[in-house]
Amino acid sequence: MVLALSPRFLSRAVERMPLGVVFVSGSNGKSTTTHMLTGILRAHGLKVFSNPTGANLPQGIASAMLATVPLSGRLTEDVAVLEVDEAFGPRLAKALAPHSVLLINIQVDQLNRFHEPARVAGMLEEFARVADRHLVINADDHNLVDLAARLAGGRAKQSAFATAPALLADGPAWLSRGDNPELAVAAAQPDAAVVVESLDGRFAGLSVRGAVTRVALPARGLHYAVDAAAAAAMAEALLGDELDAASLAEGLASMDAVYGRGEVLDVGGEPVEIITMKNPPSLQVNLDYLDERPEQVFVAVDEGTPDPSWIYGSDLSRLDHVDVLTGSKAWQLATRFFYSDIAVHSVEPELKPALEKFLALPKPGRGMKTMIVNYEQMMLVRKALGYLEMGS
Amino acid sequence: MTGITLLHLYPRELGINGDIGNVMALAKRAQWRGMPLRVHNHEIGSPLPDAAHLVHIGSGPVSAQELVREDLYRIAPRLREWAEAGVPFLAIAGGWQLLGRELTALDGSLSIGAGVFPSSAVLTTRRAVGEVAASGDIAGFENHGAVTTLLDGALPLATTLHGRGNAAGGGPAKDAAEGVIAGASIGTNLHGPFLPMNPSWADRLLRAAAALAGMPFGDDEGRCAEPDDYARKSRAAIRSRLGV
Repeated sequence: MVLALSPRFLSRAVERMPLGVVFVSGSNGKSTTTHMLTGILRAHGLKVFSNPTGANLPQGIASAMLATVPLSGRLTEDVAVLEVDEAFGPRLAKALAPHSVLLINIQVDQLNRFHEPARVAGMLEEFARVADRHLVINADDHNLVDLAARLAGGRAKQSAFATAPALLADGPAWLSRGDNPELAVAAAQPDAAVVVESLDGRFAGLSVRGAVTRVALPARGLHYAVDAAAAAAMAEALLGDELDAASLAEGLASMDAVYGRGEVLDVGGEPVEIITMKNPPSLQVNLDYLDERPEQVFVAVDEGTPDPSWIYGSDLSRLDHVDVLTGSKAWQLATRFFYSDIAVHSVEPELKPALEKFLALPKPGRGMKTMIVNYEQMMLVRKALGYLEMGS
Repeated sequence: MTGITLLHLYPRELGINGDIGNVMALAKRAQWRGMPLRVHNHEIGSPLPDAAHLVHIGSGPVSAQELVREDLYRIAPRLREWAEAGVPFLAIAGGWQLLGRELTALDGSLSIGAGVFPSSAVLTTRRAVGEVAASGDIAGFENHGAVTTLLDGALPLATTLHGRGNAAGGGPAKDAAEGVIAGASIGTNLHGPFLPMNPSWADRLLRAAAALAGMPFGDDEGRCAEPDDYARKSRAAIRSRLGV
């Protein structure tokens, strides 16, 4: 709405920022990486404007700015770090030309939105082309390496982050390749500004211009280390010699620890974990994060996932049964589970009786009741449980 | 008895839509019927097995087709020999396009296919995306941009009740030819787990493969009843959503 009313509003709001506007985009990890970069820059004493998690569409960004901008119409922060949806990036770049762009990955997610990874690459390229200061990419992502090569010789100075090949080889397949050859690991980039050298539980060794700094991650997982490397690489591009290892570590440590991948809701005094089935990589990460097979499982998938075929490619070995299955795609999911010997105890096409049946189960002996749902069902579940407001 | 060899072509490159579900269904159903089945994954550059009794190729974007094309030319003569000998193939969307006779890219350039299927495909920007219900109680999901022509009087797998099938995005939204039947082989645009959703076709392929492997088609002793009931309800839900 604001975009339509005042096209100059956004560009005016940011025009006095010394470090300019940074777009953070990619298929997975945008929110985490945006938080990490914001944390690192703040630890260096900078004032940072950022958009709330998930508010990555033009309207969300405009609303966030409108709420913050003083009467002068200009933000007083030093830099704006914005999580940007890949599809809306080109449009946003017209209203708010980014000076710097950080691209994390292009993965086989949201296929129903984009059909082909090449389309996503095209969208990212359109706004990466606008950057006139820094373009930072993942050197392990073929599509991004190709994209950067197409923009070589442009106005933006290019740099990259990478993961040590041995770590990548042991990491989850989707991180390097997903189900798609276009995600094949690119040749190792010896000149990457930041490299994930080691991983030890919730700590990673990041080599920044050759010197290794040990940093804390919000949770275990190589993907968090890669997000941290991405944030560190953009911080290095923006700050140059002023980037210091202690502030880097401090900024990353300021991230809230993530103890479960999902959100934990309090349902009548009992904690219930909700895992969102957004796309193949995010579901796989969430499943892999489970230390044990959950004792009680609820699954809900509806038309918000028009084609759940991809779940045949997911490793579901962390599940040994499903207590209650619901949503308009329930029978497709039941078929999928059956072929992996995952017993489905009850299929309830309607959400309300399904929820009642699941919540009536006695509290599990260990862990929490676990719900695996797509985004649309998550909203309905939250509403049914009395959680009317989304956190952000 | 050595069992059925299921050759899975390019599982790394062509499998973007959960097509692996077809291989899972074939392997599980063979197991339920007491028929030994071994999956041979064919990767670029590796040798083919001495024999194959069933071949699966999944779907993928144009870039993935490009990656496998050269290797496919290398193995195409052998694939054609097998097809002529009655080995059943299941080819999904992009994989089917590669196994046809010709494939015309978006820029108009034409390449030769492996010649297993009597069909030719022309890529178009007008994609067909959505759930499909077709004759013979077939259902699934299409997401492709290929106008496919059947040659030599080959018959389609089905006629759509709702869905664009072989005509892709520019064609009619119903009464369209979908897929192809060529002897024991099937090509279809219904990507992802076509066989779990339409298990009678899995059994048809397995029956042909068992005969080639010299073994009787085993009795499932009721083991298929539950997943096939789920599949039937999945298809009914799709038809109901499409109003057909």
